[in-house]
Amino acid sequence: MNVTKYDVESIIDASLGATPAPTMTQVESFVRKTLNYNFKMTLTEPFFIKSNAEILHAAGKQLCSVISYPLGSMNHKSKVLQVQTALKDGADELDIAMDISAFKSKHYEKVKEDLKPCVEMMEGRICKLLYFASLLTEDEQLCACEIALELGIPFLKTNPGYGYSTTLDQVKLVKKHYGDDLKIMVSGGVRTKEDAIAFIEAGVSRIATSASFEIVDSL
Amino acid sequence: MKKQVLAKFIDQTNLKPGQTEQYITEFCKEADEAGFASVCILPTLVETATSVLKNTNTKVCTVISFPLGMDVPEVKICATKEAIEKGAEEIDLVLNVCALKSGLYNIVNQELFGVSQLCHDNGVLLKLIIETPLLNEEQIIKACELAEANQVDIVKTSTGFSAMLPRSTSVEDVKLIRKHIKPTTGLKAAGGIRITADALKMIEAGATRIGASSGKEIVAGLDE
Repeated sequence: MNVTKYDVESIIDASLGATPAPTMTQVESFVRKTLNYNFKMTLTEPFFIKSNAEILHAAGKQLCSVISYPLGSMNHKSKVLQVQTALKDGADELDIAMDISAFKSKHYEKVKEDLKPCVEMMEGRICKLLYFASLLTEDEQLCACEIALELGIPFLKTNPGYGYSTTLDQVKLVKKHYGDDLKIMVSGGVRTKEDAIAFIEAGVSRIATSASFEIVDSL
Repeated sequence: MKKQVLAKFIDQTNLKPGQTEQYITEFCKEADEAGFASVCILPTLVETATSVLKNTNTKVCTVISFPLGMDVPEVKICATKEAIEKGAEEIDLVLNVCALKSGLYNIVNQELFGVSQLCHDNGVLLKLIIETPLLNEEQIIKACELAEANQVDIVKTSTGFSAMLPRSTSVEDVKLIRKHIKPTTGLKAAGGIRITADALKMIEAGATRIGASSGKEIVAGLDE
């Protein structure tokens, strides 16, 4: 497979993840730097959506944010409000974490009911389901895939990062069973162009990384 | 210090994602038997913890906007309300450290005012996590001032979310906070406290609570 610089750049969701508790100025300068690249999305925490959506939209770019992130531990009503607020503030896409404790406790109906109103509010915008692949057995990973399909959100985000890295096997498992029916964004542990290319070859449609500039500049 | 006295300092903590209800049920039973001050668990597990710990002396504590703190005030307030409805008796709120560092004190006051009012109207104890490993001395002092201005009950040093933090909580953090809060305001040391000696040092420096995932080991290591 011949992977070009554009192939990689155009599927990156660029995140500031590596900087804990940045100042508003740091976030803005990161967002402005992403304007010089052809990333798919600039990814920021909910608190920064409002101030940065304007900058990105004015330049014809888009912003993605995260819901119940990074631990998948928000209760239902607050999660719904978080989605509502994120969209009102200008988010174009959202990465929504499933209730991972309910999932591991095998309360699959609860997991779906929790996500349903969130998905409805998206009104056709893309959302990805963060399913915490690294916390799941293979059977559980496939069960999460079924939930995503059932909810009508055929796009997965593998892991939250913060020490939870994605393996090629996690991606291959989903691709083997679902092929093009389920898209995958790899998230967690993509640091170099070699990582990015390996995941593209394994079948990912999107790459979330806080090493976005380094990866693209090295291609 | 006696073992049961030390146990009363401890918020026995499990904030790892994906814990099952069954696991947390056992975790809560053990915490009650050990006589810990509280269990500190994720919001989605508050109902489970409450069903085990109601009518015991061990409180149910949960975290809001954990561990990043980068939510808008409305969402933090809503998450607090929901946690209280589900039975939380103590709230550990993560400060919007970005707002603090950017001088956006109106945002900090807005989230603290809303959360503090909700907690105190419902007899719930409020702890504010200020995340000392990401702050300089001046910012720590400012965070203490904002906490006091909003009637926070306990100032907590850190989330202890090691994947994003440059260091653990230090004795110096505890001493600095102690100097800048009222004597009646509590102080919870959390983040990297794993052995008895660590806990005792923090208490000596002025901590009134210890957040730790190894509470049992900390108590067991005490020479009575």
